[in-house]
Amino acid sequence: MTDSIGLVPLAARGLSKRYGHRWALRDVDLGVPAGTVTALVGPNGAGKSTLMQSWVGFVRPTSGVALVFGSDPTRDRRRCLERVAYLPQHPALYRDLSVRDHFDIAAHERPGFVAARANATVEHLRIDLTAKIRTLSGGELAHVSLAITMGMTTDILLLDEPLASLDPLARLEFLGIAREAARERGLTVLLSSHDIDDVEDHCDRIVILSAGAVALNAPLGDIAGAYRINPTPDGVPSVDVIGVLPTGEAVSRSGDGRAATLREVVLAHLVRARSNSSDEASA
Amino acid sequence: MSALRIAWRVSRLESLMVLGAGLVLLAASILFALLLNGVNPGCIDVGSEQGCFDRRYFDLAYYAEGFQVAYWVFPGAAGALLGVLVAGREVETGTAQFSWSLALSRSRWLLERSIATVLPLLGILVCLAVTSQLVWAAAHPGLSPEASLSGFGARGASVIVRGIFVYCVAVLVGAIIGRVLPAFLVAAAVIVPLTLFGVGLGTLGMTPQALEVSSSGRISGDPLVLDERYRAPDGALVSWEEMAALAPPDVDAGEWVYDHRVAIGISGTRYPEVLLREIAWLGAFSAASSIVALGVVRRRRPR
Repeated sequence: MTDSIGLVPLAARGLSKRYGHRWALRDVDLGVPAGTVTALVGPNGAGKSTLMQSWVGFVRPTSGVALVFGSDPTRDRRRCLERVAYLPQHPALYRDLSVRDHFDIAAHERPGFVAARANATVEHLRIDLTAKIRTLSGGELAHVSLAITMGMTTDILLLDEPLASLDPLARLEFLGIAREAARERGLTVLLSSHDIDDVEDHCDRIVILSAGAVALNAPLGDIAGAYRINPTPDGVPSVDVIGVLPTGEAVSRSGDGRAATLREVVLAHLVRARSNSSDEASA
Repeated sequence: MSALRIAWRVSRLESLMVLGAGLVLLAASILFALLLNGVNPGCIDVGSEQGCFDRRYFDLAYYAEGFQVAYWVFPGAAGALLGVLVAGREVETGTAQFSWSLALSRSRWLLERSIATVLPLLGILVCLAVTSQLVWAAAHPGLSPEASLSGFGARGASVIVRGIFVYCVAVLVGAIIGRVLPAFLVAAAVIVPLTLFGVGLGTLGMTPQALEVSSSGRISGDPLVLDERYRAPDGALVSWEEMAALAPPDVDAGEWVYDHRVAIGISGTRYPEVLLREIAWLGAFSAASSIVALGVVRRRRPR
């Protein structure tokens, strides 16, 4: 595993990042396999954006390393960025420039940018190429940003909570475009999201980040049936309990209850993350 | 769309503001110089006492000081305004995240963005450097601008080099702070000590000379006077008290000492040397600022 982790599109080895006294990431070891659509899930402040930004060289690790196809973006920025398209959580574009101007910027900065692909994305959504960015809605802005990432000739798409500002239809269209690109071009997609339905419908794998550490990293198929719902945590070995849901039910790795859904597994991890944070704060 | 055109469009409004203000100053300078030259009596011959007197000329010449202030302020304000846009505004508005996630080389990105803002600045500063000399020459008839330190820093090549220096500082401060207004204020403030320091930077390391003062109180070469001394009968330069002690008993000591005063300073004829030194100093500081700014931009996390 140690030898092969450097060959996967995205990897982290002992990756830690501290802002002042707060750890955003703590000793993260992770590999994202090629050609998968992986969801990155976690509570606010879990370190999702920091992890993604480590792979584009925006964040310099306190210790450990983030790797893009085995290269460290803080040392070999060009080699890494050539293979990564990054869509930030709050995409900020130039207000007084048009959509087409932004495609021109991308084409200038990224050799191999396929303007036709970017054009097709916005035309499909009926966004005027000559429209100034300041005239677009939040959803249109997200789609323009997605179109730019679609135009890039890369191997990896990093989508950092891009769905937050989108209505349900726009979310569906957005994810459909990303999913199709992943399938057609064999892209590796890492999608940070809070919405379990989106994850369930469009992703192959899930990584749950909790308090800066990886709590779960598994294919979605492996989760189904691997966790049980028990009416209470009583009678279940405590080491097996993932978390107690607000309903009082316990999600655990053992027990006689029904199979837990993905939503319940994720929620249990989020509950546990919150409880761990409270414990740390009180300590 | 060329890189330059993209960068120009990103900072178009502010560049046009600077160009507009610069053109106003330029036009006003030319008009003022023409007016001043029009009423400038050719018989004013500084250095002699026989000049004729034209009231209109002296009334107008009074306003030359206002232009001097404008030529001190404009390069700093324009340099600061355009400089902070390069990285400071990009970080503040969040567009740095977009740009830097695309740019395979942030060094190249910074260079392209800088060129787009520094070119209009440089263009207008070059024009203003010329018109500032016109205004100065019109207000100082009989003096050569190349042989006088009066108005140093607010005319000629100093206008260009000071503006570019503030611009480079503004790029750096903007990259560090990542906020437009604080970075603008910090960068613009750089011009204040530079102005107060006057020719100081240009004369750093230069040895002041003893300059003879005529009986009418004039000093040849329109120098920068740093101190005053008195020439003793043996030729030595001494203080007032020392000179007064040497005064012959049969003369008024105060008058005798005053008649032997010598100015210590830098002769105006050394203007080219002082200017070259300032260009060298500010050029070096500008280059250093640019290198540090490059390092900051390459390492900085966008917001």
